[in-house]
Amino acid sequence: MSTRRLRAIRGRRGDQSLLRTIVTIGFAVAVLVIAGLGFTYKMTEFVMTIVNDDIAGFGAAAVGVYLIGMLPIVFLTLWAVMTGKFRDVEQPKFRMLELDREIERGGELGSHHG
Amino acid sequence: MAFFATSLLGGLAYAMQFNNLYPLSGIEWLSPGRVRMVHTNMAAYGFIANAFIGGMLFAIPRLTRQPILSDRLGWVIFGAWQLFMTLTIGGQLLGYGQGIEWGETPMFVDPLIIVGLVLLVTNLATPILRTQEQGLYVSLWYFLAAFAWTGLVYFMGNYLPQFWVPGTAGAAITGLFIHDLVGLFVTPIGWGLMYFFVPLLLRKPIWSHALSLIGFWGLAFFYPMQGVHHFLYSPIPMYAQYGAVVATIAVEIVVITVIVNFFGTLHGRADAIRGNLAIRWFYTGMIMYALTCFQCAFQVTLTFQKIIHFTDWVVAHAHMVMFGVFGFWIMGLIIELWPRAVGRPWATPQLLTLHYWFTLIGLVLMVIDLTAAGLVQGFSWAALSHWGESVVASMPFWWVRSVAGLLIIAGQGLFFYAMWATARQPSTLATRAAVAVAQRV
Repeated sequence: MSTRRLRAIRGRRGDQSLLRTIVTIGFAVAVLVIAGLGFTYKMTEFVMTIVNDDIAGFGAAAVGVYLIGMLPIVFLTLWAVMTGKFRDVEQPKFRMLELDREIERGGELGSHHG
Repeated sequence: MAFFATSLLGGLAYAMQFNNLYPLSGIEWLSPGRVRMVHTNMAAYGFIANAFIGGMLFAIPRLTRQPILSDRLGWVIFGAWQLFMTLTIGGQLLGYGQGIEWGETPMFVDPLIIVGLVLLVTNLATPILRTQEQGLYVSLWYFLAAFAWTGLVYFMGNYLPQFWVPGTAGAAITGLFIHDLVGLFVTPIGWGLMYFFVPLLLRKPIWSHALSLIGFWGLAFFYPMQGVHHFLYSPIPMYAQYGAVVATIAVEIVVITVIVNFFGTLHGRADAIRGNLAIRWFYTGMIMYALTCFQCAFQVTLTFQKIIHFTDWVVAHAHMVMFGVFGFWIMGLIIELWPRAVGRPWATPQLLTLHYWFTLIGLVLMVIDLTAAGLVQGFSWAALSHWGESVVASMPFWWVRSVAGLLIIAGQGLFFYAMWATARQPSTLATRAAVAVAQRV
């Protein structure tokens, strides 16, 4: 992709289509409400197996593994927030194309390109 | 590719058993039950895991502009992984397979795999954590999630039911393991690679990075612990089963975000499906993914399970997911990366097109055939017909399955030949330039 075209694409970021914004916000709400509530319901039922002493070990294992698995992801998210990785949410999709061009041109790994 | 070939041949041999033509009959260590374990395990750990690790080794340094922690460690992990796979095949054929679905890797291999995964994560996560890039591209988020989950899921599935949580609870955890292996290991790595390769090949950015992150967090937070829906109507308390069913249907909204994003990206560049074979493989796999997830929303209901449980419907579904989605994506990766690896352009591009059609027709035929077989079996059992009647009714479907398998294998034979023919071409300046042109124009 030519540098001119990349710049043109970057320039359009300011006036992203209304449709894209609506779709993104709509899905954010839908994921949180639909998938979030479904998941919360499931995990509550799994916890209930502990409370009811219904299926010894299952609820503790499922919930315990979930919490352990989520810990690194929560920490990674916090790390990303604190190091400014979300300052411009759409920027990485343009940068990854630029990076590829730089590397194809023979750029070295390990150099700073913040 | 050697483990892929092993998996294919194991699958064909096992399918032929249903036609009373098992080619390895009378040899205990090659008995069908053991060969089936080799078929599934080599598909998941030998083929998909190897290819996905290769894909990440290509993508991560390019996205972070940082090298992996150690090239030498990378080679050690590569050698060790192939050794573990060989030990897995040997152990399973000698009768040491563990009695856990998708966790049949022998007990003596499990700790080695966990150590291997820890080393792999250390090697590949380091460049992500060291990156000086301002933002973190969505592929890296997916890889990080897979790194966080894979070892834990493997430990949970292989050890908890075996040593600490036996019986019904152990079976329920096995259900979680089966589904988390797909959802928290192959799915995040697969989507991470698609988010990397598709924009590069289409030469346009993903439609919405924000939407891709919503899909990521939806998967990371709301996907885990789905698999109890594999054990509906079992002794697991019904309220826990209902919870798993509701959550599985609800999480389909996350799937839709990903599909919308990739087809939004394709908008205006649909010609690439025809002109770029890797893109064609990628998007065929995405259509399969959408179909499997759509199917999933229905088949996890108690109504559907009453009919399809234990039938060939499930086999069709598993093949559509593991081969039709992730296998197809890997074909696209190989088509894109093999010329770079050997420094030569594809020697026989027409064979690659044939490979695509053989594989697609073979898989679609197999999926339709086994889905229909599953319905025939399910309704036969629900009607309380004699078991033998369902077997007799299934025989034609099992013949079609074997033919479909042969089509798939023939396609892979063409692919292996194309790879070999490409690698053995003389490497000249002209061929290297041709690779560069083919990759970048």
